[in-house]
Amino acid sequence: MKKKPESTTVTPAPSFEAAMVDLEQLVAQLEEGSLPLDESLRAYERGIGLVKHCQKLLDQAELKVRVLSGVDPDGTAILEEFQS
Amino acid sequence: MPANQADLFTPKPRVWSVGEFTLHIKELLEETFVEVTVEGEISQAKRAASGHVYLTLKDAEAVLPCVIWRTNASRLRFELPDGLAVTAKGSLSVYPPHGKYQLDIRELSPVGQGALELAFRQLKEKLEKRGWFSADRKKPLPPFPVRLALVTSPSGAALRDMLKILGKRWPAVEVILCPALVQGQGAAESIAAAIQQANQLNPLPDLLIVGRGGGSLEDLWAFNEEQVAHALFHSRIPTISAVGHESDVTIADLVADRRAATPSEAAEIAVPDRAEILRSLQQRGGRAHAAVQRLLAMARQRWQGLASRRCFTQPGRSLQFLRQRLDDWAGRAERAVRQTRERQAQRLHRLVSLLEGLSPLKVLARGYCLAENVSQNRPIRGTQDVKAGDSIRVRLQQGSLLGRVERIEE
Repeated sequence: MKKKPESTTVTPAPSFEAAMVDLEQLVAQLEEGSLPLDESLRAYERGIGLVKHCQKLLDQAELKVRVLSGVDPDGTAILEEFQS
Repeated sequence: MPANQADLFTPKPRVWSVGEFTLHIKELLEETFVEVTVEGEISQAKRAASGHVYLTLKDAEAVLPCVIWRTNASRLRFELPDGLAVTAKGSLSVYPPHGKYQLDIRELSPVGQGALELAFRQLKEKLEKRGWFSADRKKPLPPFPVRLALVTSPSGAALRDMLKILGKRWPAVEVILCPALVQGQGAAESIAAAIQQANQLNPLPDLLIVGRGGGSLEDLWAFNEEQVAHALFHSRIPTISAVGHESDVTIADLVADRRAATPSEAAEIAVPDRAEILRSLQQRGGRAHAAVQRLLAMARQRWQGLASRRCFTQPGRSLQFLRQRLDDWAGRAERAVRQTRERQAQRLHRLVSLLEGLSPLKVLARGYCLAENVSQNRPIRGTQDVKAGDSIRVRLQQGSLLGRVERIEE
């Protein structure tokens, strides 16, 4: 999941949403009880992994604020750290 | 001269030039009506390319031509439809080249309502007709926003409030502040521009909050202007509007995809609560755990069901059965062997008695005897088997006799 350093701030949260959706599906499957036992155990392991992953994301997150200070001649936005 | 004399006493009517006379009227009227307030209905208001607004005020008896010069016209908040009752404050002016007088309006106010109220109602009606407020064009907000654009004043209390709540509830979000002037001259342009800039960011933010803290209707006015409504309506990013306090509803609130009563509430709507999500995560983990426990219990039960079958619970029984069968087989085998052996013994017995019948000893018992050549140890069958002088043994039924051949008789 490692990309350019610039996008690291962006990647965790979509995976957060994906993880939440995944997790919901896994739990539903497990509760339905239609999976064979060995697949259920694998699904459970994956589910617990997702829970830990999401918890880690939330525990480590720190609010990052940048300010749009202008637009360079190419039309790309100039973002600076915001000092409140 | 009498004529001259008469001229002296008969006042000669003053003859004005048109210019002099008009100027005189102008002075008289403009000095008299430096500041008047006139009430009437608007008719045929028209904004010229120059920015000046020309209109007519009228009632049942008369019409009054009016003008609002550009500077004042730009401050007009509301539209000027025919029949709108207004009070116009201004001064009378005369325009000599056309020989006309008109009221130069400095302040125009609707009758019975505030100018801002009226402007609000007018814009609201207009945008409502365009369908800009309709629920079916509102974009859904992302459940877990990643990049959040804030269009507000960098120094306002609204920003501080929002950042505080965002940091507490969902610090995983990246905030991009798009600074805007939120009140005064040029505020509407500034807000609209900031919304447009946010829409050009790459990567595109997935949520935008536009707002400011509370203030007077005049302070909040930029959020009631069409420019801001336009920018919000055309935003590709879902928008939350948060202007002032609970009671203030602005045009921006109506056009945005979601309205928050205050900037703090906007931040709460924008992001989920970390604590709540953590709880729900744990709950999901717990549900997964419980489901797996159930599955395991079911599997165990099935296993136990199988394990409780007799073949597993009393494995000895089948063994006994086997052993019994084995014993059975062994007995049968033993019997068979014994029978065979008995049969063979009988056969042997028969053979033995048969053999006994054939034994030379039996013959001897009947009184015969058997002669043997002792040196050759062979029975003597004929004379050729012995020579005279050979030792012979004569076997009797009991014992034997040893002798010598004396003579052979052919």
